[in-house]
Amino acid sequence: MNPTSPFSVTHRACRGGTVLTITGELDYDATPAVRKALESVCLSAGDLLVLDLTQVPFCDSSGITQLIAARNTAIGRRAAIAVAGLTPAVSRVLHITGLNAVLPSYASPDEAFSTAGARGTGPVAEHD
Amino acid sequence: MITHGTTHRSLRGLRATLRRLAHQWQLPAELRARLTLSVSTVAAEELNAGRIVTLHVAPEPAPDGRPPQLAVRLRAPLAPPGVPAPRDLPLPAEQLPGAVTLWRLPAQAYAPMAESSVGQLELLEEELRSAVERADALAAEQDRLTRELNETNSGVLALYVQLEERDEQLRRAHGRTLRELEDALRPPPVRIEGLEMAVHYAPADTHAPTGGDLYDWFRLPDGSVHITVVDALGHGVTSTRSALNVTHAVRTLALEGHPLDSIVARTDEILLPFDGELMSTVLLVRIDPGSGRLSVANGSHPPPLLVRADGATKLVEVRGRGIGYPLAGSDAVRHEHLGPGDLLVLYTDGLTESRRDPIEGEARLAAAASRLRRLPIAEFPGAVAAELHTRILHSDDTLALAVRRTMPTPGGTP
Repeated sequence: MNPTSPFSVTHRACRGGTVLTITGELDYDATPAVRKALESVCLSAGDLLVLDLTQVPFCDSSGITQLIAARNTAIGRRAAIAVAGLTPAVSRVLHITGLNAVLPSYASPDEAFSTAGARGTGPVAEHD
Repeated sequence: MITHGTTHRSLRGLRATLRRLAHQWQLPAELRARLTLSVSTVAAEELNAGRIVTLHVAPEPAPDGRPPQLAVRLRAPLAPPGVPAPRDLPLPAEQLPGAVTLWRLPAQAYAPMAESSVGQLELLEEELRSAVERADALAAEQDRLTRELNETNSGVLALYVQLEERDEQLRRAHGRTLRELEDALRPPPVRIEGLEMAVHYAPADTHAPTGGDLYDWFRLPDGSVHITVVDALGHGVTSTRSALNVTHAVRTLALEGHPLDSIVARTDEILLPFDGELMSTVLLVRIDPGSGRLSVANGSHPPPLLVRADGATKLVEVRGRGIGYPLAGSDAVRHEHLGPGDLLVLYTDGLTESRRDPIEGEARLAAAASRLRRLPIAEFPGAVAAELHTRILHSDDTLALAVRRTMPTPGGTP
C-alpha cells in the first residue's frame, strides 16, 4: 500500500440512497475496509448505492472483486448500484473486465442520483 | 587402644608429632598431608599468638570388626571466644564446644606401628610425591576427557553436515518436483506449419512456482489452433487449481466443437455449481494457420496486442466477463487477419500493471513489442517481459505468450 495516500472508506446517506466514498488504491489491502463499510451501509429496496471513486487512482483484480461485492450487496437489498468519478486508470480496468456493462458510470454522485433516480439502473455509460 | 595427648607451643612441633602419629597409624600419604595441613591451619593463629594447643589422637572402635576410625582433636584452651572456625580445609573438620576441632578419618590398622626412625623430610617427600602423582593423574584424566569431548564434537559436527546435505537434497528434490509439476501443467507450443509460438512465465512467488496465471494451446480437428489464457483470482496452488478447471473445461468444450462465442458463458455455467468462489478471466483465440484468420472471444481478460510486420500495433478489444463474474460470457467474437510476419501477443495484467497504471502499461507493451518484433519467437516473450519490468511497484504473476504467422519460404516449408 502506498504510505502517502492512506486508504479510507466513508459513507453518507442522502435522498434516494447512500454514497460510499473510497479514497486510495483499491487493492488487496483495501479489502477489509471496503467489506466493513458494505456491512454497515443502510439500503432499502429501490435505493441507489453510489460508489464515489473520484479519489481512487488504481484498481486491481482484488479491487474488482470489491466492486462486484458492492454490487451484490446492493442487489441483495433490492437496490441499484452505480460508480462515479472514474479516473482514467480505473475506467480502463472496468472496460477491460467488461464490468462497465454491469456498473453504470457517472461523472459524479449528484449526476448518478439525478439520472438514475431512486429506481432502476439508469443508462449504461461506456468509456473508451 | 592407644591414645595420644600432647600439648604444643610451636607449629613445628605440632606438625612433627602429627606426622609421626599419622605414619604410625599407617594413614596414606595424601591423607596425612591433608590432615597435617588442616590441623596446622586451625592451630596457627593460636600458636602465633603465643597460646598453647593440645593434640589428642584416639581410635574409635568400629561396630562390625573393621579397622577403627581415628579421631584427631585439636583444642585451643586459651582461645578468645567468638573466633570463627576456618572453612575450606584440605580435610574438613567438625567444630565442637570448648574450642575443639575434630577430624575423623579411617585408620588402616588396628593399632599404631612402633615408633620408627623415619624422618620428617622423608615423610614430607612422600606426601609431596603423592600430591604430585595425584596432580599428574588428574592432568592425564583431563587430557583424556578433552580428547573424548573433541571427538564427540567432531562427531556432532559431522552429523550436522550430513543433515545439512540431506536438507539440501530434499530442497533440490522438492524444487525438481515443483518444476516437473509446472511442466506438466503447461503444454509445449503447438507444432504446426504456418505458425510459431512461444511463452514466458514468471510466478510472483518463487517458492510456489504455480499461480493463477495459466495458458493452454492445442490443435483442433479442423486444423486451426486454439489458445486459452486464464488469470484466476488468488495466489499459489489454490488459484492454480481454479485456473486448471477453467482451461480443462474450455479445452473440452472447444474439442467438442462448441462455438467460440458461447464457450465462456458455458464454462461459467459448468464450473460455478462446483466452486461458487471461483473467479477467473479467460481469453480465447483461434487462428487458422492457412488463411491467417484470427478470432477472439473474451471474459474480463486484457486485450491481445496485434503487432504487424511493419511495426504498427493494435489492441484487439472484445468486451465480456469471465468465470464467476456477473453476466459471465463474451459479448461478441471479433475477427482479424494475421498476415505473414504479424505477431499476436497474449498476456496477463501482471505484465502491464507493474507500475499500477494499465494505460501506461499497455502503451509500453505496444512500444516494446513493436521494437522487438523481429526477434526469434523463442526469445520474444521473455524480452518483452524484461523490458516491461524494469521498475516493479506491483508484484504479480507474469505471463507473455506470442504467436507469429510465419513467412512462407521458397519451396513451401517455413
